[in-house]
Amino acid sequence: MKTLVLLFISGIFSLFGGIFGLRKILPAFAVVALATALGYLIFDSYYGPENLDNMLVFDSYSTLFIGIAIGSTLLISIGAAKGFSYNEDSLGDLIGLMFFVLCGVVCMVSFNNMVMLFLGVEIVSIPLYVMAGSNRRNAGSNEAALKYFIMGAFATGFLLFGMALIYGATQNFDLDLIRSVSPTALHNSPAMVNIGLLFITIAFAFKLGAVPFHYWSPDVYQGSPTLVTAFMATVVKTAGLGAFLKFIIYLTPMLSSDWYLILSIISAVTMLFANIVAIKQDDFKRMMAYSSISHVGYVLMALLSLNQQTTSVVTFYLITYSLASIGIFASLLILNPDHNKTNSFSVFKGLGRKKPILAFVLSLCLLSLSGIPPLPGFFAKYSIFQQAISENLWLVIVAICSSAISIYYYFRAITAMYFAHTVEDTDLEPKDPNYSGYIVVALAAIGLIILGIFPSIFF
Amino acid sequence: MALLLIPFLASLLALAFRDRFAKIFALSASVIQLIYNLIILAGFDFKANIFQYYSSYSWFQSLGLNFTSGIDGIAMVMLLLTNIASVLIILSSWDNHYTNTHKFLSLLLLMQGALNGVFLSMNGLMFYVFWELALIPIYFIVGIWGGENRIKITFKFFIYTFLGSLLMLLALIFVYLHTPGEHSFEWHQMLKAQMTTFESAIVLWAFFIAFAIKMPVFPFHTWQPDTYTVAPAQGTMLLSGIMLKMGIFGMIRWMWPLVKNVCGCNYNVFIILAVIGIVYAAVIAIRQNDIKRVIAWSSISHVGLIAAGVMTWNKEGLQGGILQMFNHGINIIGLFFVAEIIERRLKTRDLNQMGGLAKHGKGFAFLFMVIMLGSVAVPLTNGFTGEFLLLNATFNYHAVLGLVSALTIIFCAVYMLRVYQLSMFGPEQENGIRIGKLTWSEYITLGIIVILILVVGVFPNLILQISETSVNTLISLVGGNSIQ
Repeated sequence: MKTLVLLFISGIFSLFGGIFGLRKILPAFAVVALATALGYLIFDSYYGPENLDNMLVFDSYSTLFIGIAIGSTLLISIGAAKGFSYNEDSLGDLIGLMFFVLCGVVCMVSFNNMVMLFLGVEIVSIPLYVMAGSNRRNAGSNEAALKYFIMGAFATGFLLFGMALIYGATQNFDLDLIRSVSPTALHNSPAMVNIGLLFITIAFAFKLGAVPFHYWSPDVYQGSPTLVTAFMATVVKTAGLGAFLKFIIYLTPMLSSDWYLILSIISAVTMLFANIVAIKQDDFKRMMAYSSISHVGYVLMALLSLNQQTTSVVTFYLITYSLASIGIFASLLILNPDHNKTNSFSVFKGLGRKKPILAFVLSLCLLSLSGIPPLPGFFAKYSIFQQAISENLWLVIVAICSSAISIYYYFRAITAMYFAHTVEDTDLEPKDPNYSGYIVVALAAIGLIILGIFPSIFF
Repeated sequence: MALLLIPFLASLLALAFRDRFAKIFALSASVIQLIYNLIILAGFDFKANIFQYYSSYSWFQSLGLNFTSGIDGIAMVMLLLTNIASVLIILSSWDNHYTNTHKFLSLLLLMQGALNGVFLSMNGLMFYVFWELALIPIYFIVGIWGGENRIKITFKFFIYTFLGSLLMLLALIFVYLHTPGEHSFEWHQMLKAQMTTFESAIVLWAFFIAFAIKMPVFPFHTWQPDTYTVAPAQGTMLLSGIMLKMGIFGMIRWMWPLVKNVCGCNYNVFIILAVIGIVYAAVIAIRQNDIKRVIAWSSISHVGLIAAGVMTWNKEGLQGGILQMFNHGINIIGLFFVAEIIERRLKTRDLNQMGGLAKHGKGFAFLFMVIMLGSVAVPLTNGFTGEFLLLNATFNYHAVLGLVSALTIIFCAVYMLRVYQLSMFGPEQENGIRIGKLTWSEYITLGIIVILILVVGVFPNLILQISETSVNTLISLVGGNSIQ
């Protein structure tokens, strides 16, 4: 609760700070505020769960997901000064919006009442539409905002409709009460429950960008400013999966076998389709969009076979995925600071020789995403496989095949970095090097290495 | 444990040196590693039928990943091969002038560490981790320092082998889930897995394809000749000398023990594939004009024989396979180094543009001849005992298969002698480029190889005695193959 208040006040402060000429200190302020919020979150969790009128429940589950979201935002905000440089006038607004998104994330993962879930989703989405379009002079950014808005609104409609149907069947918004409705009572209106659940699942699939509801995501990822893309790919996915997982955990008794079949098909198609399509992308950010779609597919696989371990498996996956993604997007920002240029693979050409350390770290992140041991991405993927294999062997086989496919496009970037001999020596070095970007990349890499060697610190 | 620490640390430290110092450092690190390995060998009890130097640390408890290492006779031979070969490979790079030598050597040492890890692992998941880890450095070595067309070829190589590895992972997880009680990846626990016939058949195939890609066995070999040809000499030596042994080792240590007891499957098909590979690759090798390609195809042929022998799962086959793995590692490194020496001077690998090299390189011609004879398996060279045991095992298993695989000796003599004849004898080329004097590093490398070939040829027991007890144990554990 206090974390939520702290985040909200920080957001307001950033907005006013932007107006009153405190722009210089705002990035530093954001880092400090986020670090404080993270500290507070951990500190608070020692006092046990906190229940706000059955609307929001802050327990260890929500602490984990909020922690990942705040941690990712912390890393991203270190690079904020440079990352938002395309629109310096509204730096305060952008940082403020970032805080508001986090408020929404808190609501999304700690909801105990479907109303709060809906509010959370909206609080997350609306600032994001603005952030996606924040590079006003860029057509791509405008397109991204519009597309994201229309698709997002559409998905929200599904979510609301689904909730209304479930409310109709159970006369409740409260998850605990919904769960306690006896199955016989549900049998009176099976269609309502099933369709409601299906609609909510579709809404989540939209928000997470799972195939076949993913069409907005490559365009939005490509068009948005790089740092916003990083934010969407990590924090928003974390929130969406956190909310979806919580939803499934609570409503397990209501889920029919058809629902499982549908979700497993969504998961399989997401993995296969996203990985295959990613091969053909020439824009790096577009490729990363498909890559993040495919990772959603892997996590959905874990949601299909719930057990005691699921939460820790999913959160571990999200941590490794977020670290690697942030590292990659931050490196992209260092290499291509001009927001109006395209991000083709040629950005990476000859990087191995020009900036060996950056190239090394970037390869580390890519290798982790592709799941090669002993990087933590492997342990994360592996624990999901292990969880799913006894119930959905075929899904694991699909996942393994698509993992093998994914090697192709992740290694395309590595190949460009190291193996390309023909380097046109155009001076890509910007006037003032992006030190804050390097700090982000370094932190992400350190996190990955530590998790790779001592994965047990997490579990 | 120190077997892993030395190369990994050295791999990091090598980055701090440049050029010549990096070479000196890497060489001394690998020599220290070899000496340490010999110390372990000295303290190794040949008669004990348990895993020695056994230790286990928890790494990732909830996944069943423990850092469990242990050495039996079979692993011992493989470790010896890895560490001897690493010294030879680093020594052979002495006269190469690669850009960024320190990174090259760092990757070599990383690879050495990962390979040691593969042979030490007693935990299924740890085995997989090191197996994959070994793939990364070789990918970069081939991709950065390789020849023409390397990008496409490394891609093919990597995706091919990675798919195989994932299948192996799937098989390992599957067995893990069928271990009794609390699931475990420990080798001893995995042996007790309860599976139905159908399940174990799936596991067997997944394992087989994974290892067959690595070795490679026909028809999973298509990545191999290109990769061997395009890789830098040291990369090829690593791939052919040590890395493909991972596949055979995997069969001996993991594949058969985990499924043999429970699987009544018909695995004749594996042996038949291996035997097809022997003949197929040998015939192709005869027609190649690129010296590296000849050796690459010959490697498929030889490994096919090892695979066939091992898969018969009787004592001769296993012992011969283990001995021949060691020998093949040494011989093929020698052959590729010979090819490299010729290429360094002639700037070509085309056999048609060679000739008369023996005239002005007597020492070189002699050393080449011994290595070649070792590869052809002439008595008193190392190849003889190994191939004899392998052929004996295959023949006992099935006479026709044995006869067909025996063709390998004839074919091998044909293509090896053809290479020797075309390059060493005949009229000299007009451009006047000669072999001339070998440098000291070339002499030492080839010298060590030739000494090993002759010593193991005369005293094959040096290697056989190391693995004998372990092979007996393994056969009694898994159950031998009744002769059909």
